[in-house]
Amino acid sequence: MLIPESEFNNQKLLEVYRAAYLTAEMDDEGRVDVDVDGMKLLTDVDTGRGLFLVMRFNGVKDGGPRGELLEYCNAVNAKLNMIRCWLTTSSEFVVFDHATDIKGGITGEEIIDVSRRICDRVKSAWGMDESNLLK
Amino acid sequence: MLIEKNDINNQALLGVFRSAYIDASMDDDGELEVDLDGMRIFVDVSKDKGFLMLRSMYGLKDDTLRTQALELCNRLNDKMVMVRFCCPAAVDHLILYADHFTVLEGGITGQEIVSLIRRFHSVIQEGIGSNDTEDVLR
Repeated sequence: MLIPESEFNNQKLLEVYRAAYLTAEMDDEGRVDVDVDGMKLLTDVDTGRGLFLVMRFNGVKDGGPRGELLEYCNAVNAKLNMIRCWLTTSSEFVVFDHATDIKGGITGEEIIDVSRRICDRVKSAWGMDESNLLK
Repeated sequence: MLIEKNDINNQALLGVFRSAYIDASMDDDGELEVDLDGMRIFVDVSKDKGFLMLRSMYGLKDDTLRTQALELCNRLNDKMVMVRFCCPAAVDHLILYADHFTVLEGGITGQEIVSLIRRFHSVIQEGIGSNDTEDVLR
């Protein structure tokens, strides 16, 4: 069933996850932490920009060379579908994320499917960390 | 109106783009190409994987260093939302590749498709101009 953009917010997102028997809770900033197959994902409905965001922040080992980290992110972006991978300016975190446009609405199936796929892609990305750069 | 996952194909997408007065054409291989304000965007449905894919490519200047190209990609991915930027290794010279994947599970509306391609276009247009600080794009 289509959830119109005007009715989609983090409370609705929380309900969708719980209806799908996923463990989810709202954090202090009103975003939704969800556990998908043992992986914590941070999700958010950005009503201002009309986007559904799924994110995973991954720490980087101290002293990881920025050049190698950029090559890792680029390899993930070039080889895996769907997820984006980028390094924060401070080189402290690698961020995996995906944004879905919700201007035309979104279905519960799509929310669950995107969340599960992102979880799978992050696991695949971890498998590509041959130089052991990530914590 | 919701288009069911099984009914989404490049022909259906072509119909959506044309009804929205977006310049779109399909080549002999069935690949869909959209021209949005001069930007060429390739659109494809991956039925088996359940995705709608948008792609676009940009040349980099011949003297661009790989580190400059990777920093540009990373800056674009950091500062911009939704669109993914990378330098594919499969190409023998440096190019900037932009793409986005939308899941088709649960179906998609024509409004979502049109909104998506317009946003893809605007994110790239805004992002490339302001983030190419080392002037490496052609």
